[in-house]
Amino acid sequence: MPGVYFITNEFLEDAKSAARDRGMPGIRVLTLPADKYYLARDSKQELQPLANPSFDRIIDALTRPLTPEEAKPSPLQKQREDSNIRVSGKDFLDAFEKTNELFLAKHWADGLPIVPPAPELVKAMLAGSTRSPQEVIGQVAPKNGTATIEKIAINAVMAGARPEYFPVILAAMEGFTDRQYDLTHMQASTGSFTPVVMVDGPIAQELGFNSGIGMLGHGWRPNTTVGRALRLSLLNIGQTWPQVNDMALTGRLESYTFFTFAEDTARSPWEPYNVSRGFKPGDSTVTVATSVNPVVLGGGAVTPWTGQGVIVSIVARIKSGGVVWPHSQTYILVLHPDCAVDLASRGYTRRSLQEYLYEQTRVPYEKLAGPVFFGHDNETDFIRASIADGRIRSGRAQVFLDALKPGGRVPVVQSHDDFHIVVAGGSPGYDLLFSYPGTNWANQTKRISGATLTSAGR
Amino acid sequence: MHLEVMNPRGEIPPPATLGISPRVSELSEKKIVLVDNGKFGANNFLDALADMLKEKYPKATVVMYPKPAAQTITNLPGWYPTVKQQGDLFIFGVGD
Repeated sequence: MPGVYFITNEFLEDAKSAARDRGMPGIRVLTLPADKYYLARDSKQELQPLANPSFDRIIDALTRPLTPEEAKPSPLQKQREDSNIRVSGKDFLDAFEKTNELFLAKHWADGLPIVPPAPELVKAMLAGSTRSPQEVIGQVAPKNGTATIEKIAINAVMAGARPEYFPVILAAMEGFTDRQYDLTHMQASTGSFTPVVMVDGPIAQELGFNSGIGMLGHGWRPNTTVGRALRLSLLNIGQTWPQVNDMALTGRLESYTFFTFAEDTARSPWEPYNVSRGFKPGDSTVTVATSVNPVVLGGGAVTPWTGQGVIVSIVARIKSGGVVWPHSQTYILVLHPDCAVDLASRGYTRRSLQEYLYEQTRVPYEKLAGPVFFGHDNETDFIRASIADGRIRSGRAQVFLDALKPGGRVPVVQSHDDFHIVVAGGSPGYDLLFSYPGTNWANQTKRISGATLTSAGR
Repeated sequence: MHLEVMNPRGEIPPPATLGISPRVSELSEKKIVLVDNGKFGANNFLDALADMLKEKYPKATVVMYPKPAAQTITNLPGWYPTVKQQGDLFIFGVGD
């Protein structure tokens, strides 16, 4: 079926890249000026000046005969890149600098200096796990590069990670490459998402992860280099680059290291987060989740706070979001230990807190959003379409059907399990809410295994 | 002085290539499908194009066929072939 695609000019390279990735390099794409389109799109009248000059181009794209290459494109060749590269310099420091220049020029680095991934260092990294270097753990979106244990090890070396961290990095990559995880959305979307990487269980303490004051900041090698190893693995194995096929408009707030921290299980009044997700006590796990940037909703050293006040703030924040997307909405609530202890002293368990948040954030049917989006006249139609297609989890659809009527209260999530509650932070500390209003499930917890250099995670 | 380093990139199996569909000689009497990708404003742009198409090709049929939101469909890839059942040509937009 002959057709033509319209995009804005800033996304032309992205569109060409995606077309090549799917084996159709010849698709015809027309562009609109981004600096005019986004301001004019509110009405047909405002867009008319852009539509008028587009008309002849549309007719041309639909009627101009195909070139031989468009009709039968040449087969795409497998990328031929050497597995090992020799970089020459007049001395070590010169070769080190040239390696960094080469890697950045090839889009193999993140802009900070990397540790040159010499075979000896990669071998040492691989020794941190029992797993075979050639084992494939999955494909990395958007280009579906093959993630082998060895490729992840190379990126982990570049990031400055120690070999004992390697099993944590591998488990996190298993999460990112899980087919249930919408990695394309995280890697490519304009939404500028940042992954949350949460380590749980005894390996966190053994490796020295920071879960206290400064947990999202610099200074703790496990937090920073595990996150950076994941950053580089996703960049290199998925082959993304800003302004090409990573279109995060602002970049990511924690672009180099992601939001990487550990749960403070010692100070938490509740069972470890991973146990609440069905893992055994004593298991070490890592959770990866796509997130927009967190908001601070209480705690701190300046103004007084109470645990109850914090969760009231959280409810108000969520309800002010304005749109109910129960198909995918996920929240990660990071309570600092004092707040969690205060809530526990008032009788809250993790489960009862989840149930409180689920109930209190329900939106009155009369307040559902009305504007058209994604082809739906209002939010009620949007949710009904999701139910009809089976996007609401088994057993939960009736809850929404019952709520979609006058007097009903519509949940913002499918179940209370979509509020992920973790305890971490300082004393005093802040309470953070991460959210993800994305298109698909993007939260995976994987057990850390195969460790050779730590007691935990074996 | 030499440094030997390893390539960090993942291997990507090249996809089989496909040509695009042959074009038509003209649009008159064709059924033209305008596929709204669902982003805000796409419907307005396609509405403007629809008016122009109807004026220039009065014998053509112009139909709107919105893409369902990814949030409301479990098998979005399976939806794309349904565009072909709606007409003879398509115009898809507006991507970012």
